[in-house]
Amino acid sequence: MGAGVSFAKALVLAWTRLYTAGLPDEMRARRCAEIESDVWELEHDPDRPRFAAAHLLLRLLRGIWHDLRWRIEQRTPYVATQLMLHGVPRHPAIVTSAFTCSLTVHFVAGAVVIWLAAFPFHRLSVIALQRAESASVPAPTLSAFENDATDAAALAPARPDPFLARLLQNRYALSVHKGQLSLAGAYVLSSAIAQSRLVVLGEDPDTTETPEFWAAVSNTPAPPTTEWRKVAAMNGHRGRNALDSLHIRIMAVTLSPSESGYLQPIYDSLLPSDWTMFDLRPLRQELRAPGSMVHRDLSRLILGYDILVMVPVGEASVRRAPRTAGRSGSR
Amino acid sequence: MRRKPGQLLPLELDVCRMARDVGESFHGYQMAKLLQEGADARLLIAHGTLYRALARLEGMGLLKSRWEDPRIAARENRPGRRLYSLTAAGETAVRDAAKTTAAKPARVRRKWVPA
Repeated sequence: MGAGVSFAKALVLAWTRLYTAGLPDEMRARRCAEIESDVWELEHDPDRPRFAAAHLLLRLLRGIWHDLRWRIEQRTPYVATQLMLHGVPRHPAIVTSAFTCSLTVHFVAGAVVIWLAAFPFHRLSVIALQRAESASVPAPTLSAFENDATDAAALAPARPDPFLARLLQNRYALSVHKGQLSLAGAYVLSSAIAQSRLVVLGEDPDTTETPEFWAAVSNTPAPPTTEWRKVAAMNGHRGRNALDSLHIRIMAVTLSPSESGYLQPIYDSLLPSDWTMFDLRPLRQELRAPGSMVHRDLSRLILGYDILVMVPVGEASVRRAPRTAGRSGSR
Repeated sequence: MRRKPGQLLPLELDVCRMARDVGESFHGYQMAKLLQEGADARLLIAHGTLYRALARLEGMGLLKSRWEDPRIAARENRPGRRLYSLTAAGETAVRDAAKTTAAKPARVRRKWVPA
């Protein structure tokens, strides 16, 4: 669950507790439980709206007037009777106070929405992806993958750079054989796919292994709601246009050899054999760390993609070494 | 909207119709989805609007409700649902509303034109 949805959910439940305050315990508990169940259903609905947090907030805002009138009905049996008979409360003081409360809550909620909307999209996507890290994907540690730990120790500089240490912690060996992924990277990738609604593969068009990799990724078990998309070329205008058609805003990343010096930390971290997969999601925390010296283009790469797969030089890959086979963006 | 005694608001009538069409018990979110699909709307109905209407219909005796078996919710690891179903009075109300709608002549909207 993304932070935006968590926030909206907390707001909805807080508002429910607020307007039911003072009611008999049974009545209050029932309304709170009903709203909580409703929010849970929306959150876990396979067909839920794309911007679930905004949807929740809108549902909250549009219903405030009715919440207040319902509250008045429960509090004053006289007014409830009037409502049942005539549809509107008659007492001007009730109308005035309800209107004032409603106006205040609308104003506050509107301010919150505007504040949230001020965040750029990629920051929201980072928030959303933190769910995957904290859910069923166990945080990878060096001890969990002994081979990686050995390599990490060998590659670690004398003065440990937090970013490089994090990069090595989130590096996995990956192999593709007969349409199936294997090794530690396969586990991390399949866990990420299982929690995603949309998997976008952006390929380096020069890489011969891409079709085999994409076939193996497509064979990974995923919920029926997961949608698969393959984007022909992520670099340049073609990639951007393809992503625009998916309503995904992402920053373009250029990986031309002459300008790819910023990828040096990635190249230096490659495993000697097999493919090397980097889970870029945990690295975003390092980008936010004060005094982060990560190259601007590398930051964009990490913010733009979730998974980076590097293919070693082989018989198939003869043009460049090493190079990017696929950058799988799971949302 | 000013309510005449014994008259159902359009939303309440829609809820009753949907409940009749579903033919079994339903929960709040399910009804919100049905109403959204029925109205071809982009947004789900607001929490306050829906649950107030459900409470009012229950108060009128047109719906009855109960909590689902907590073991089911526990097994599925989710909050318990409040399940609503249409009563006999509710079915009668839907039938009466359908007859009234059929018998009532179509309302002619007055068109204002400049003199």
